[in-house]
Amino acid sequence: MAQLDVQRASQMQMVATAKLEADISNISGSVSQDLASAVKSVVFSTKDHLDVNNSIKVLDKLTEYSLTDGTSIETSMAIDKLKSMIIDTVDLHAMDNVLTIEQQERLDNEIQNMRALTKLNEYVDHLHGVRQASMVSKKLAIIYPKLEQLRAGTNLKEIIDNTFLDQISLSRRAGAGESCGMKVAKSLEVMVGCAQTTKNYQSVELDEYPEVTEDREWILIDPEDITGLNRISPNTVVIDLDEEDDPIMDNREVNDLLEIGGHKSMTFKSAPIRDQGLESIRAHQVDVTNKDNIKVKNDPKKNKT
Amino acid sequence: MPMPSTLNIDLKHLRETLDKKTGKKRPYYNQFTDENGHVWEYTGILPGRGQDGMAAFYRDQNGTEILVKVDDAATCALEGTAYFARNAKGVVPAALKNSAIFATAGRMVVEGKDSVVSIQPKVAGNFESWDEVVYGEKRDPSAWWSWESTKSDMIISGIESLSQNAQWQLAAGIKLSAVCGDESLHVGQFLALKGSDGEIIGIQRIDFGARERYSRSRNSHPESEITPFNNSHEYSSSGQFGKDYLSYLLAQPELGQKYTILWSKSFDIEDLREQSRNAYIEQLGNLPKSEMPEAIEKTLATINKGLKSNASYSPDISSITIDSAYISRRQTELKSKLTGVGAKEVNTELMKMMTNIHNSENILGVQNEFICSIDKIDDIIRKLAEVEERNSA
Repeated sequence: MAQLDVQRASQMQMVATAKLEADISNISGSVSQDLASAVKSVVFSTKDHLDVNNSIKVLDKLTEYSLTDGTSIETSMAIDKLKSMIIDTVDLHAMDNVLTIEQQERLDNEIQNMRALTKLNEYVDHLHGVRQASMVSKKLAIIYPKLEQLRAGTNLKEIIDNTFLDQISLSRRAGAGESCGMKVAKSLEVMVGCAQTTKNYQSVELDEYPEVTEDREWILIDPEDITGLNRISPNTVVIDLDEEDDPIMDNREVNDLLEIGGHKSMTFKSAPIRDQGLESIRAHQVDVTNKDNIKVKNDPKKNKT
Repeated sequence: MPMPSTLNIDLKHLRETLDKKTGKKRPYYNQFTDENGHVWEYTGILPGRGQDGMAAFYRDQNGTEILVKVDDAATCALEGTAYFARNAKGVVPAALKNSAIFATAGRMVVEGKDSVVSIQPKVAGNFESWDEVVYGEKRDPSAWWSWESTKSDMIISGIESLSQNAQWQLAAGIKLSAVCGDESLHVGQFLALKGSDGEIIGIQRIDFGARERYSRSRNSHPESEITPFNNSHEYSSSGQFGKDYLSYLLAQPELGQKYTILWSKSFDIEDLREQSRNAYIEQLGNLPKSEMPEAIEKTLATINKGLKSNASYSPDISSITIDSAYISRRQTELKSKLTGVGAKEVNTELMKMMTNIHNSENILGVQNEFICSIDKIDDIIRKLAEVEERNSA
């Protein structure tokens, strides 16, 4: 009868508590002992003994730790997990009105941000598993400095909308390889860092990721040379295209590239891309001294011969 | 608001309606009066019910709406006692006590003839069965492999799309199920509350009809085998394949974490025991006397399901006491009711009270004996029959 299941519930409570403690210990392996203890003190606090301000301080310490130079993506993800435990704990107690309005707002912001980071982490997993990593990693290498620029004072939505989503969509379309996984992850890690330091938590909405539209005008660039940025003069960069890959880059990315690199001029030289049926070599040179001249347009579909 | 427990009905109120979902004709009564004299009017049929019998919505003059279902006595008694998990201190926070809809047992009297009903508050708001939301259609309960096992990715997506509040409610609904011993946690056991923009803003657990199934068997293992993260071996290996429902739900990390944190908060085990005892006595008291023997017999069969006949078992009989808070409360209520009432009425009320207590004593007594030895079934039935004979004499 019910008394048996009541006793069973008591045992379940012990099992769950032990699991939670073990989870924190395992995850905390990559952070300091003090920080791990601080996390436990929050997660195992009771409603009457929860110190919300201290909980927020622990969150801040975890964020700070994740932004330390050289922190690996694995550590960052572990810290995210610890943060989410704290947030859930405070959220649970908050249901019984133990928070001030300001604390509740702060918590809501953290929850929104954590959800955004969860989405990003999903993409890390996704990118680990796809093929043709070479291209994706090079693409991400392009946006890497841009992300650094955006690190402060910009909201996560803007970062994602402006610099990241296209890359994700491209990686989905093209596929990427295992070899590139960590490079990709590193780039995403920067994204996570950006998200954690962003000042505007409120506008994070990640429910819909826009797909790359088909009506864009594309140019073809070899990613191997994008990272090399073969500068032949202060105002000219040459990028050779070869036939191995099927990279795609749109005008906005070229703009980003030029701005990041500080180049005034750029030359694009394409090689035959046999798998697309292109037989002629095309070359593009762009003088960006005047921004109005940036017209690097080339639709591969129109160039098929 | 307390649910009514006795529905007095005149046969002239019997009607019939067509269930558009099943195409079956369904009986209902367009009006009844409860034990407090409140009149309840019919407002609609519960569509799509698989079982025969009445299942309809009613509203009283205060606007309170309830769902009344005719069901067998054991199901009503077991389902009707699940609310103790919600009422106990610390099992879920106050804000999550609405994460499940609990029914209570009741007695429907039509022209002096008794039947058993379950009564529950009508769910307010724009609700849809969660399986239809998750799978895009009603789940097929007769599939060889449960849809939860073959469409687990859809469950993950379904949980991801929930608001934070809905995820907490889902976690609390699962925990409440575990505490009251109901392992039937497939996706169809939840309702999804939709906001104005179609987003799911709430989840509520419904239907505790599988409560205490395999209870003795699953609790006969060493404590080290008990876990809140998987269905018991007994339950998950019964019927169709793929019934470790907990594992499919908790595979979603956010939900899994919330559920774990919820469990890690300590609760008052003694209060839980007391609530369980009181609910059991109170709900048995709601049943018609003629239904009690069958209710107890089937309840015990549910509890003992899956148990090998030679299994040894030593329950804590002392945990069941006749001197319950319920009976004390009934005595207090009776004293207040008897003030200023004539001798005949006093006598009638006293007889009712004594009969109730007498029945409760016997029921609990024989139940304890039964738990000690399942071979004593014949003896129990005989004793129950004796009690009934004495009461009806």
